[in-house]
Amino acid sequence: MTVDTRHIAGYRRMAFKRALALGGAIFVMLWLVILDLSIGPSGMPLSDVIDAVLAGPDGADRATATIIWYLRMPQSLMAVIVGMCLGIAGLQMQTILDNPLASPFTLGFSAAAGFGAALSIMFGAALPLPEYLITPIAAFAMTILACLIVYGMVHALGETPEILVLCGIGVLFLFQSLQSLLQYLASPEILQQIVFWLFGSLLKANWTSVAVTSLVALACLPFILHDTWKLTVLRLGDANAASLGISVGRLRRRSFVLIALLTAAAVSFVGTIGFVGLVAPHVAKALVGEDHRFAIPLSAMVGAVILASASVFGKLISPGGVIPVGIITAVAGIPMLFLVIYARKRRSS
Amino acid sequence: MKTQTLAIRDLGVRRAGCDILSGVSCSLITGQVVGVIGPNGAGKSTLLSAVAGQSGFSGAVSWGASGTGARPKSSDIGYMPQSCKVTASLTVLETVLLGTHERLGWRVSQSDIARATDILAELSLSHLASRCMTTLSGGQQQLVLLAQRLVRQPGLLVLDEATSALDMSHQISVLMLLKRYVVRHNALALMAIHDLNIAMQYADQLILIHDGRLVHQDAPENVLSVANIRRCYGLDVDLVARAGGRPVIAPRPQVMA
Amino acid sequence: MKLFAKIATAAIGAIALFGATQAHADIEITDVEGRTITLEKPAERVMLGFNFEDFLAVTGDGALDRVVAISRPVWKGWRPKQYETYVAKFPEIDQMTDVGDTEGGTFSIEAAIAARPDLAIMAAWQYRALGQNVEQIEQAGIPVLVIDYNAQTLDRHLTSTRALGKAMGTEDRAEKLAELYESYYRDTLKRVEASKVARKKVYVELAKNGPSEIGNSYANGMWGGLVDTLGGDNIANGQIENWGPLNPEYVLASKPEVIFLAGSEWLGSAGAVPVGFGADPELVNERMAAYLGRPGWSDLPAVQDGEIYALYHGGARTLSDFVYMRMVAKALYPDSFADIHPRKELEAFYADWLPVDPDGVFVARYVPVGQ
Repeated sequence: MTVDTRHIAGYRRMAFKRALALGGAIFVMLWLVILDLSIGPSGMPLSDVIDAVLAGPDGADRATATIIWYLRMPQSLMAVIVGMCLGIAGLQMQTILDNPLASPFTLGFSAAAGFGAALSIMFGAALPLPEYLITPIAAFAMTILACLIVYGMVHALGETPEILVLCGIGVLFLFQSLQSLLQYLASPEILQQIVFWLFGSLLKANWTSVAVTSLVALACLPFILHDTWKLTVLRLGDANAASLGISVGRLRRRSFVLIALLTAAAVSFVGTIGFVGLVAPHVAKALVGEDHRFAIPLSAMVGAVILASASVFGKLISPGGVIPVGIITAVAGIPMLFLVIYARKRRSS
Repeated sequence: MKTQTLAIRDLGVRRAGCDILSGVSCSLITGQVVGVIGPNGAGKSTLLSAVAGQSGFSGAVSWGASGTGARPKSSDIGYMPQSCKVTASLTVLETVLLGTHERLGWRVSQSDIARATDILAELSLSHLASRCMTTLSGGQQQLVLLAQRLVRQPGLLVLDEATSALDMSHQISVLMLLKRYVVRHNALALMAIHDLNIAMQYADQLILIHDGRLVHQDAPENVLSVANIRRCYGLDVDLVARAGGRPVIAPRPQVMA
Repeated sequence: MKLFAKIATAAIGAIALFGATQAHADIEITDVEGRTITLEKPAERVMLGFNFEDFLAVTGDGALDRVVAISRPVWKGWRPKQYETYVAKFPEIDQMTDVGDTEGGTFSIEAAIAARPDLAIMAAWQYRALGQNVEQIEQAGIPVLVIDYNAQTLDRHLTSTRALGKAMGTEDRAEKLAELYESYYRDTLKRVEASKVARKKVYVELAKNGPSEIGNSYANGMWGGLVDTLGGDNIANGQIENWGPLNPEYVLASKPEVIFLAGSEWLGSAGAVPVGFGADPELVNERMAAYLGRPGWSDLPAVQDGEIYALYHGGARTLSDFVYMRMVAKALYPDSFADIHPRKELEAFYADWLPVDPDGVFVARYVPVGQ
């Protein structure tokens, strides 16, 4: 059966190439993390960085120890984790909505998070918790609320992608207008804080945020991995997937909740960082195709790479290192998107 | 292998106040290809969708030995709905492998791939194994999706327009393949057939649906009588006898008015 | 005699011991937020976030030699001509590490830590904006001292001044300044008490963007707090929280009797009232006149009586703000303050306590054009 073995060999080769792409992405990401740790506004030479890393968080030189262990390391880790969450959430969203323009923010999650943050910035002083805890909690809570609203509406009205998108857009506009209302009522100082939060910045990262975001992501991971094959099948279309024994509505709802959790964890601490969730899945699919066994992890890695490189780039062009990373991903994301579209066109023609 | 029976009892589907199907009852045993025929809008797709458990209905459908038993499980069924065009950039081999997605682990095993390539060979699709689905014609996609259902090795095949985009020779070879399949795996294939001649020549049994009711269930030459065809299709035909086989249906030429 | 000698020796020994331990005792300072910080000795490498002139006043000679990092945007950006004046005298200011601005979101914790200060001094609003970043600074072994002049309260002004003095080892100087400020403060209030003039309605506006845009007014703090302390009737009370623009219709309807236009040395603002270092009195007057041309303003009592004043916005929330307080008081209660000349008091303050001269316009009454 030479035909057989040829196809088996071909399939294995394809899988190997995809695994290679995944490995390559991981390698690039690790490199970027190291680079990110070595660059910063204090202008520490590489030798100092290495010394501080080896000396540990309780090292004798308090200044470099604090900079490396309490400032740069959480920021770099946060870039990676947030990038991974947004990458996975973006891929899932594009799959369940069957729409290449979907992103984790399509159904209103970023608008809700922004509203939550605005609420806490305006009124959070009334609560006994410190401000840097209230804002993430409020942003997270509002994102989950948006998720529940859309979930409820979809449950009542039907579970097709069209209805999901319509409900999501409705929720998006709802929270966006509420957010605008708050911005209008806010004093200039508060308004500036809100706007700054919306840009998305890694500067607020600390070990708490790293821990919480990682925990949420790890909790979601088994559920996502369990659905890997089902998501690939969903790419064949609702009718095909249903006829192959997948309860499409349940899969969609389940994924939707997981996307909400991942997105909430990603943006609650660092603000709404756009484009990563839109571009990462496209790059991943361009490299490894639609097989979600490869597309999911690669989407995560590409997301981490995008965010980590945005962080490095931001530090390079602004020595104070204070350009919000969300602005850089927006600016860099556009040419990347064009590249992806161009590559797709080249391949299909 | 034990014979299974698909027993449909008083099946009815009501939508928006209309009875799309009502009082459909029949009993079908494995080992045959049963064609579901009838004019457009008669309710064929609805019936197939209901039997495959993809839409709601009143009445009972059971699958098991001697006609008693529960509804067929999704692992027993290979259902192919009407419109299932694929727009994802998966290869043909990947698509067929997805037919058994419940059984696949993180690594696709040798036997999984072998099973898929065997089916592709049977349907003469081997040369397309590494082609992307979006580059295939409608007919080729249909064949791949059929392969995908077959790789599950279901006991009950429910096919709605599985051959509608295929040319005649492919239609015939698919039907021959299905006949071989149902005998080898002791399965039942329930498929909607538009071409009455194909239905006549290759189906083991026919079910005629008209206005939401099952009006005739029998061997093809009995179901496709001139009277039935006139009543259900509104068509005047001649049945041309053929030596050693079933007759050929020839519609009478229409006179240009 | 022997017993006496023994007691005396013991007493001297105890005093000596006490003196010796005192010489090695840490400096404990309670800052304006009630936080206690400990320094081994007066600070030699300071990261200064705000209140630069107050720091200079309290620390005295060589103050800037003890500063390694500043938040440059809030000095150079907000008071450019003031910054220029100080840089002209102390060029090393330009070389100090810039830690960025918390309000503009450009504050870099890393830069602050990397400058290796032994004390970080910041204003209460910066402390609040930094949130848990303060912990990171303390993590790095840098104590954080919070001062607050923005509140415009006597208590916080004095506490901040004394805390600064303790941190820099110039407690005597700080005490003198605190007493000076307090005495001016109480004198002002005494004169206000004694005045027979009725309570006047006051409108304060930040004259930053020209008459076509309504600038911020203040309530509960800054100029608003000042007006309240002096018993004036700030029309912004009840309309805004802390600061924000008032509705122009409301301003017209309130018929303010005294108007204060707060100005600063903003660059690139065509219609602003450019009060401050290096200001030109004629230009200030001209710009004020433009504001009076607003629709309906010619009917306001303040305009008709010529009760329009320009104030240096950078003067509020500093140790020298008693000058502006007395300027406002003089405008509200002219009978009690006839012998007081706030401009002269400002010059005296700068001469006694600060290393530069206040060349420019800091307080001015509008002189109607053509007079």
